[in-house]
Amino acid sequence: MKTPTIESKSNAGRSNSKLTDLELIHLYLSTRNSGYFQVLYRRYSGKVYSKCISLLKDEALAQDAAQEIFTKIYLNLAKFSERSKFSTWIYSITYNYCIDFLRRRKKHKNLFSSEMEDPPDQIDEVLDTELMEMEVGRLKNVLENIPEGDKAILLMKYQEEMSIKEIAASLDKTESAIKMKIKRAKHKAQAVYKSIYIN
Amino acid sequence: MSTNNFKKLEEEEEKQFPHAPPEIENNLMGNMRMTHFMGDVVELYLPRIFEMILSFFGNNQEVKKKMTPNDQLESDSDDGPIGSPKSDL
Repeated sequence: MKTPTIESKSNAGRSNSKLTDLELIHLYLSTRNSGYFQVLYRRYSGKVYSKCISLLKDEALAQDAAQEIFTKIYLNLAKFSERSKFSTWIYSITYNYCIDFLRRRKKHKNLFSSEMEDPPDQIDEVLDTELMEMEVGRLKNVLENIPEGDKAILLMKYQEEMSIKEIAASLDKTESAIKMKIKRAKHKAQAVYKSIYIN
Repeated sequence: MSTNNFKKLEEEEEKQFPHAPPEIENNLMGNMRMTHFMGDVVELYLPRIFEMILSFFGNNQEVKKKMTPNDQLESDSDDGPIGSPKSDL
Protein backbone atom coordinates (compact mmCIF):
# COMPACT_ATOMS: atom_id res chain seq x y z
CA MET A 1 0.00 0.00 0.00
CA LYS A 2 1.34 3.42 -0.87
CA THR A 3 2.00 5.68 2.11
CA PRO A 4 -0.11 8.85 1.91
CA THR A 5 2.06 11.83 1.07
CA ILE A 6 1.96 15.30 2.46
CA GLU A 7 0.26 16.51 -0.72
CA SER A 8 -2.76 14.33 -0.01
CA LYS A 9 -3.22 15.61 3.55
CA SER A 10 -2.82 19.35 3.60
CA ASN A 11 -2.92 21.12 6.91
CA ALA A 12 -6.20 23.03 6.93
CA GLY A 13 -5.55 24.38 3.46
CA ARG A 14 -2.13 25.80 4.26
CA SER A 15 0.65 25.04 1.82
CA ASN A 16 2.98 22.53 3.44
CA SER A 17 6.04 24.45 2.40
CA LYS A 18 4.75 27.39 4.46
CA LEU A 19 4.53 25.35 7.66
CA THR A 20 7.25 26.10 10.18
CA ASP A 21 9.75 23.45 11.24
CA LEU A 22 8.05 23.08 14.60
CA GLU A 23 4.59 22.69 13.04
CA LEU A 24 5.94 19.99 10.73
CA ILE A 25 7.60 18.17 13.63
CA HIS A 26 4.41 18.22 15.71
CA LEU A 27 2.32 17.08 12.74
CA TYR A 28 4.74 14.27 11.97
CA LEU A 29 4.87 13.09 15.59
CA SER A 30 1.09 13.15 15.95
CA THR A 31 0.20 11.56 12.59
CA ARG A 32 3.33 9.53 11.71
CA ASN A 33 2.75 10.65 8.12
CA SER A 34 6.18 10.43 6.52
CA GLY A 35 5.20 13.23 4.11
CA TYR A 36 5.70 15.80 6.87
CA PHE A 37 9.21 14.52 7.48
CA GLN A 38 9.80 14.62 3.74
CA VAL A 39 9.16 18.38 3.75
CA LEU A 40 11.74 18.82 6.53
CA TYR A 41 14.15 16.62 4.60
CA ARG A 42 13.77 18.68 1.43
CA ARG A 43 14.23 21.88 3.42
CA TYR A 44 17.58 20.85 4.93
CA SER A 45 19.06 18.03 2.83
CA GLY A 46 21.01 20.35 0.49
CA LYS A 47 22.67 22.18 3.37
CA VAL A 48 23.45 19.01 5.31
CA TYR A 49 24.89 17.38 2.19
CA SER A 50 27.09 20.36 1.31
CA LYS A 51 28.38 20.51 4.91
CA CYS A 52 29.20 16.80 4.77
CA ILE A 53 31.14 17.32 1.52
CA SER A 54 32.96 20.29 3.01
CA LEU A 55 34.05 18.26 6.06
CA LEU A 56 34.55 14.79 4.56
CA LYS A 57 35.87 15.94 1.15
CA ASP A 58 34.31 12.97 -0.63
CA GLU A 59 30.92 12.86 -2.37
CA ALA A 60 30.26 9.15 -1.77
CA LEU A 61 31.12 9.46 1.94
CA ALA A 62 28.99 12.61 2.16
CA GLN A 63 26.04 10.76 0.62
CA ASP A 64 26.29 7.94 3.19
CA ALA A 65 26.79 10.47 5.97
CA ALA A 66 23.75 12.54 4.95
CA GLN A 67 21.58 9.42 4.91
CA GLU A 68 22.83 8.34 8.36
CA ILE A 69 22.33 11.85 9.72
CA PHE A 70 18.72 12.06 8.50
CA THR A 71 18.03 8.58 9.88
CA LYS A 72 19.33 9.79 13.26
CA ILE A 73 17.17 12.90 12.99
CA TYR A 74 14.10 10.83 12.14
CA LEU A 75 14.69 8.36 14.98
CA ASN A 76 15.36 11.14 17.53
CA LEU A 77 12.78 13.67 16.40
CA ALA A 78 10.67 13.08 19.52
CA LYS A 79 13.72 14.01 21.64
CA PHE A 80 14.07 17.45 20.04
CA SER A 81 13.58 19.68 23.04
CA GLU A 82 12.89 22.98 21.21
CA ARG A 83 15.48 24.76 23.37
CA SER A 84 17.44 25.63 20.22
CA LYS A 85 16.37 26.22 16.64
CA PHE A 86 15.64 23.05 14.66
CA SER A 87 18.31 24.03 12.12
CA THR A 88 20.90 24.35 14.92
CA TRP A 89 19.92 20.91 16.20
CA ILE A 90 20.28 19.38 12.71
CA TYR A 91 23.65 21.03 12.08
CA SER A 92 24.99 20.00 15.47
CA ILE A 93 24.08 16.37 14.61
CA THR A 94 25.81 16.85 11.24
CA TYR A 95 29.05 18.23 12.71
CA ASN A 96 29.04 15.67 15.49
CA TYR A 97 28.59 12.82 13.01
CA CYS A 98 31.36 14.09 10.69
CA ILE A 99 33.84 14.70 13.53
CA ASP A 100 33.11 11.21 14.88
CA PHE A 101 33.52 9.68 11.44
CA LEU A 102 36.86 11.42 10.84
CA ARG A 103 38.08 10.44 14.30
CA ARG A 104 37.20 6.77 13.67
CA ARG A 105 38.85 6.86 10.25
CA LYS A 106 42.02 8.35 11.67
CA LYS A 107 41.99 5.75 14.44
CA HIS A 108 41.90 8.10 17.43
CA LYS A 109 44.43 10.51 15.98
CA ASN A 110 43.66 13.94 17.41
CA LEU A 111 41.50 16.00 15.08
CA PHE A 112 42.17 19.23 16.90
CA SER A 113 45.34 21.32 17.24
CA SER A 114 47.60 19.68 19.77
CA GLU A 115 47.61 21.14 23.26
CA MET A 116 51.39 20.61 23.32
CA GLU A 117 51.90 23.06 20.43
CA ASP A 118 51.25 26.17 22.47
CA PRO A 119 50.50 26.33 26.18
CA PRO A 120 47.16 28.14 26.74
CA ASP A 121 48.69 31.21 28.39
CA GLN A 122 51.02 31.79 25.44
CA ILE A 123 48.27 32.05 22.83
CA ASP A 124 47.39 35.59 21.80
CA GLU A 125 43.70 36.24 21.27
CA VAL A 126 42.88 36.35 17.54
CA LEU A 127 40.09 38.80 16.81
CA ASP A 128 36.87 37.37 15.34
CA THR A 129 36.94 40.04 12.65
CA GLU A 130 40.34 38.83 11.44
CA LEU A 131 38.78 35.54 10.43
CA MET A 132 35.34 36.78 9.45
CA GLU A 133 36.71 39.44 7.11
CA MET A 134 39.23 37.15 5.44
CA GLU A 135 38.68 37.06 1.65
CA VAL A 136 36.39 34.08 0.82
CA GLY A 137 38.89 32.19 -1.37
CA ARG A 138 41.63 32.60 1.22
CA LEU A 139 39.30 31.63 4.04
CA LYS A 140 38.39 28.44 2.15
CA ASN A 141 42.07 27.67 1.59
CA VAL A 142 42.94 28.30 5.24
CA LEU A 143 40.10 26.02 6.42
CA GLU A 144 41.37 23.28 4.09
CA ASN A 145 44.78 23.48 5.72
CA ILE A 146 43.93 23.26 9.41
CA PRO A 147 42.97 20.06 11.29
CA GLU A 148 39.39 18.92 10.49
CA GLY A 149 38.29 19.31 14.11
CA ASP A 150 39.48 22.91 14.15
CA LYS A 151 37.66 23.57 10.89
CA ALA A 152 34.45 22.03 12.23
CA ILE A 153 34.54 24.05 15.43
CA LEU A 154 35.19 27.32 13.54
CA LEU A 155 32.29 26.56 11.18
CA MET A 156 29.99 25.83 14.13
CA LYS A 157 30.96 29.13 15.76
CA TYR A 158 31.08 31.50 12.77
CA GLN A 159 28.98 29.85 10.05
CA GLU A 160 26.18 28.36 12.16
CA GLU A 161 26.58 31.04 14.83
CA MET A 162 26.10 28.41 17.53
CA SER A 163 26.68 29.52 21.11
CA ILE A 164 29.51 28.07 23.21
CA LYS A 165 26.86 26.25 25.23
CA GLU A 166 25.32 24.69 22.11
CA ILE A 167 28.73 23.59 20.75
CA ALA A 168 29.65 22.13 24.14
CA ALA A 169 26.38 20.18 24.30
CA SER A 170 26.80 18.98 20.74
CA LEU A 171 30.37 17.73 21.20
CA ASP A 172 29.81 16.57 24.79
CA LYS A 173 32.57 18.82 26.18
CA THR A 174 32.66 21.48 28.86
CA GLU A 175 32.18 25.12 27.88
CA SER A 176 35.73 25.99 28.98
CA ALA A 177 37.13 23.16 26.83
CA ILE A 178 35.23 24.52 23.83
CA LYS A 179 36.45 28.08 24.48
CA MET A 180 40.01 26.76 24.51
CA LYS A 181 39.47 24.71 21.32
CA ILE A 182 38.08 27.79 19.54
CA LYS A 183 41.00 29.88 20.73
CA ARG A 184 43.49 27.28 19.42
CA ALA A 185 41.60 26.85 16.14
CA LYS A 186 41.62 30.61 15.54
CA HIS A 187 45.31 30.73 16.32
CA LYS A 188 45.99 27.82 13.97
CA ALA A 189 43.95 29.47 11.19
CA GLN A 190 45.87 32.72 11.63
CA ALA A 191 49.22 30.87 11.53
CA VAL A 192 48.22 29.00 8.35
CA TYR A 193 47.06 32.27 6.76
CA LYS A 194 50.39 33.91 7.55
CA SER A 195 52.39 30.95 6.24
CA ILE A 196 50.47 30.89 2.94
CA TYR A 197 49.82 34.56 2.20
CA ILE A 198 52.34 36.61 4.16
CA ASN A 199 55.62 34.69 4.40
CA MET B 1 26.80 45.20 10.38
CA SER B 2 30.17 43.45 10.31
CA THR B 3 31.15 41.21 7.39
CA ASN B 4 31.06 37.48 7.93
CA ASN B 5 32.75 35.70 5.05
CA PHE B 6 32.02 32.33 6.65
CA LYS B 7 28.42 32.93 5.52
CA LYS B 8 29.56 33.82 2.00
CA LEU B 9 31.65 30.65 1.92
CA GLU B 10 28.59 28.66 2.96
CA GLU B 11 26.54 30.25 0.15
CA GLU B 12 29.25 29.40 -2.38
CA GLU B 13 29.40 25.78 -1.24
CA GLU B 14 25.62 25.48 -1.36
CA LYS B 15 25.59 26.82 -4.92
CA GLN B 16 28.07 24.09 -5.82
CA PHE B 17 25.82 21.36 -4.34
CA PRO B 18 22.31 22.83 -4.17
CA HIS B 19 20.56 19.47 -3.83
CA ALA B 20 21.40 16.21 -2.17
CA PRO B 21 21.43 13.19 -4.54
CA PRO B 22 17.91 11.69 -4.96
CA GLU B 23 19.17 8.26 -3.80
CA ILE B 24 19.42 9.59 -0.24
CA GLU B 25 15.74 10.54 -0.18
CA ASN B 26 14.68 7.25 -1.80
CA ASN B 27 16.69 5.18 0.69
CA LEU B 28 15.55 7.25 3.65
CA MET B 29 11.87 7.07 2.73
CA GLY B 30 12.24 3.31 2.09
CA ASN B 31 13.76 2.84 5.54
CA MET B 32 11.00 4.93 7.11
CA ARG B 33 8.29 2.87 5.42
CA MET B 34 9.98 -0.34 6.60
CA THR B 35 10.25 0.99 10.18
CA HIS B 36 6.56 1.98 10.13
CA PHE B 37 5.62 -1.43 8.77
CA MET B 38 7.63 -3.23 11.44
CA GLY B 39 6.08 -0.97 14.08
CA ASP B 40 2.59 -1.78 12.81
CA VAL B 41 3.33 -5.51 12.80
CA VAL B 42 4.66 -5.39 16.37
CA GLU B 43 1.70 -3.26 17.48
CA LEU B 44 -0.80 -5.63 15.89
CA TYR B 45 0.65 -9.05 16.68
CA LEU B 46 2.73 -8.64 19.85
CA PRO B 47 -0.30 -8.32 22.19
CA ARG B 48 -1.80 -11.45 20.57
CA ILE B 49 1.42 -13.41 21.05
CA PHE B 50 1.48 -12.35 24.73
CA GLU B 51 -2.17 -13.35 25.08
CA MET B 52 -1.41 -16.73 23.53
CA ILE B 53 1.58 -17.32 25.84
CA LEU B 54 -0.43 -16.25 28.89
CA SER B 55 -3.40 -18.43 27.99
CA PHE B 56 -1.08 -21.38 27.38
CA PHE B 57 0.55 -21.12 30.81
CA GLY B 58 -2.73 -20.11 32.42
CA ASN B 59 -4.45 -23.28 31.07
CA ASN B 60 -1.62 -25.48 32.31
CA GLN B 61 -1.94 -24.05 35.81
CA GLU B 62 -5.71 -24.49 35.76
CA VAL B 63 -5.36 -28.19 34.81
CA LYS B 64 -2.88 -28.70 37.65
CA LYS B 65 -5.22 -26.95 40.12
CA LYS B 66 -8.18 -29.10 39.06
CA MET B 67 -6.22 -32.33 39.69
CA THR B 68 -6.61 -33.63 43.28
CA PRO B 69 -3.57 -35.12 45.09
CA ASN B 70 -5.03 -38.65 44.61
CA ASP B 71 -5.44 -38.05 40.87
CA GLN B 72 -1.86 -36.98 40.78
CA LEU B 73 -0.71 -40.16 42.59
CA GLU B 74 -2.73 -42.30 40.21
CA SER B 75 -1.45 -40.54 37.18
CA ASP B 76 2.09 -40.95 38.53
CA SER B 77 1.59 -44.69 39.07
CA ASP B 78 0.16 -45.08 35.52
CA ASP B 79 3.60 -44.42 34.20
CA GLY B 80 5.32 -46.54 36.84
CA PRO B 81 8.43 -48.52 36.10
CA ILE B 82 8.25 -51.92 34.37
CA GLY B 83 7.85 -54.68 36.93
CA SER B 84 5.70 -52.65 39.31
CA PRO B 85 2.46 -54.40 40.48
CA LYS B 86 0.25 -52.35 38.22
CA SER B 87 2.32 -52.81 35.11
CA ASP B 88 2.41 -56.59 35.65
CA LEU B 89 -1.41 -56.70 35.40
